[in-house]
Amino acid sequence: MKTYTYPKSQAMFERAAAVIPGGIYGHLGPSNGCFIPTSAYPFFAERAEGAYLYDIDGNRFIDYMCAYGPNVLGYHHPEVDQAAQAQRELADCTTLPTPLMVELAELLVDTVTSADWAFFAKNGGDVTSLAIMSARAATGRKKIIKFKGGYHGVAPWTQSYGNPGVLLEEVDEVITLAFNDLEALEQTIKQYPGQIAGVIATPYHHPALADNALPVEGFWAGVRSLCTQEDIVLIIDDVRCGFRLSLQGSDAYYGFEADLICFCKALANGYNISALCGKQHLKGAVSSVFYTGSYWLSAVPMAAAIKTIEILKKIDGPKLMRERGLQLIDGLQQAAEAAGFHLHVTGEPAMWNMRLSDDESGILHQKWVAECVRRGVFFTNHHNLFINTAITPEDVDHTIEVAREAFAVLQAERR
Amino acid sequence: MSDTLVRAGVSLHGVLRDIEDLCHLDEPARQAIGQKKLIVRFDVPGLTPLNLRFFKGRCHAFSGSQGHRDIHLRFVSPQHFLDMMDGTKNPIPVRGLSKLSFMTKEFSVLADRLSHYLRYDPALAADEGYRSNSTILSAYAAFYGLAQVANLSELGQVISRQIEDGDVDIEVKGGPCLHMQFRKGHCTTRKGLSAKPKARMIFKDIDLAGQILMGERDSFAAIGGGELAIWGRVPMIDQINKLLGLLPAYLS
Ligand SMILES: Cc1ncc(COP(=O)(O)O)c(C=O)c1O
Repeated sequence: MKTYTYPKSQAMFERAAAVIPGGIYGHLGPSNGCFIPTSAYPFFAERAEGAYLYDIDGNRFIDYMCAYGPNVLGYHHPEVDQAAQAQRELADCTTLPTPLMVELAELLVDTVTSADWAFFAKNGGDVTSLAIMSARAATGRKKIIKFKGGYHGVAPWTQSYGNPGVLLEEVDEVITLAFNDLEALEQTIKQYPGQIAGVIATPYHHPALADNALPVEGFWAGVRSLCTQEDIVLIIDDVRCGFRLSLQGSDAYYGFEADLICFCKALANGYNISALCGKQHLKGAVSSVFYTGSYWLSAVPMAAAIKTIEILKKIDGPKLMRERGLQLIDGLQQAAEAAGFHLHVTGEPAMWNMRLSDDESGILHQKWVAECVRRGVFFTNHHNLFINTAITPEDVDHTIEVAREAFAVLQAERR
Repeated sequence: MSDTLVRAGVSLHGVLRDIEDLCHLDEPARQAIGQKKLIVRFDVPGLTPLNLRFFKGRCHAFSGSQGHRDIHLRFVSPQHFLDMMDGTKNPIPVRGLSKLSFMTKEFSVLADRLSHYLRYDPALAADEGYRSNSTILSAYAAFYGLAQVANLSELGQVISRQIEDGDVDIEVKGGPCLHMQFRKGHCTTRKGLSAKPKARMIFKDIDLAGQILMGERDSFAAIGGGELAIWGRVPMIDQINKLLGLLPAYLS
């Protein structure tokens, strides 16, 4: 198999580094720890279509990062693009919102079990922060409980003291516990009676740089009942899982109901929109919070969101992604086994996490992933991966073929 | 912990410790110590003492308050030690009064040679040997200083407590190799590479290492550009990066 090189990406990165902090900052950037070694990865895309991403050096990748989640139906989905284009011709960012905003809210209320209303913004972090403020507004309490390794965006409250630019005062009221540790939660709530405004969690534990974990038996039922007893707002951050596991919301998928639920990534197949949904009793608190943004009520992403949800319903997207994920995981694990390695898989099949468990430092895994990327399969080292509905069984077969060859490179190195 | 204590820690165990490598790299320093055989202890309140052992034309630096010393220099405060490093105050000798001429003669040559390299003079940049020694000594001062920042500064402790146990290799191509050991939130710098690193940072060359340590280059862009290669447990490297960001403020 031919292996890729990236001269144009690398030259462009040099230009980027001269005028942009970090060259490419944030989660798409090569210094975020997910591109190791950076020489194995492209940095800049030229175009994308369906399951594929094409870089500026003309290399094609089956893209298992899916823009870190937004790509759920395949890039450039024709029906979604058409719906967006039709709205663009009418109005997008204007002085008044369009009725599409109401239609999208009605669709979410119809679709998502714990949604009695919907509030729209742009990024996942916009709505996780709104959820925190709303929980504080509703309860008049200060403290928030979150779980170690859970990602909720970049606002100071989501970060750790010690991170550049974060003040102790900004994280002082945030308590961090271990996911799945119901006892610790109970203990903490007891320790701060009447002081906890909200508990925020992802529906299952999908931290970067660590194994993922499904909720253990009884965890969510226990959390739900503690929150109900103590009038604590239970916030589910479904930004990454939303519409990948279930269209009803991932709380429904795991058999409980959140008070507030945050959506973003897969909501509009890459058009920029996020939503906070929730229960009737919190609607007033949410509207009391001063919160808005220049582009939040724009119509084009709303048209795209409506179409995306309709299509996901029609094709039963979550079921399809789960099945495709299972097929891929099975093939990858068999390829590993055949080459004498162990691929440890955690999380949900539609957005699985994997790691070669044969070496504690992770270097072996990094080398294997790098060999896959150089052969046109875009994985990253230490983040969950994503399936989208455009990935075909043939794409999966090809991926497994690439994985085999990448394992062969590791084997040769071992000898 | 006060900023003064952290600065003194960086100065003592980062900068002054460099005398060990200075005696190895620099001919005038080697000549100055000749065949002198003695141990000098620097004793600063709040810090583990630093010992410099001179023997057979070499110097070996080690920390601790036990064992023999020929000259024992005490300071009344971390600031007093910083003042000595600036040349404005003298230490209080509590042992080895008869040998103190070593400090005024040989040792003052070493101190001058060290600042010759650490106070980088751009006019000498064309001198390959000067530039190389200057960057190597700065790198050692910084990475040994980094452990002080991790252990003594308030924010450094917050960061280092989040670092899992294990060793991180720091390799400078064509320059020094060392590793940082993290054990229960405590950090120690050691020369040479670890037998079992959990993570590795590999700097393309000594210039890049110098620029990043002095805060003149963006380590994120350097990682992206492949000049600073990273491998292994990324959270450890992330936290070291945060510590590196604190360092320039203490490297006076
Ligand atoms: C679970 C979760 N919450 C919140 C966010 C933040 O979303 P955004 O980057 O759109 O602000 C993310 C993004 O990855 C996420 O995965």
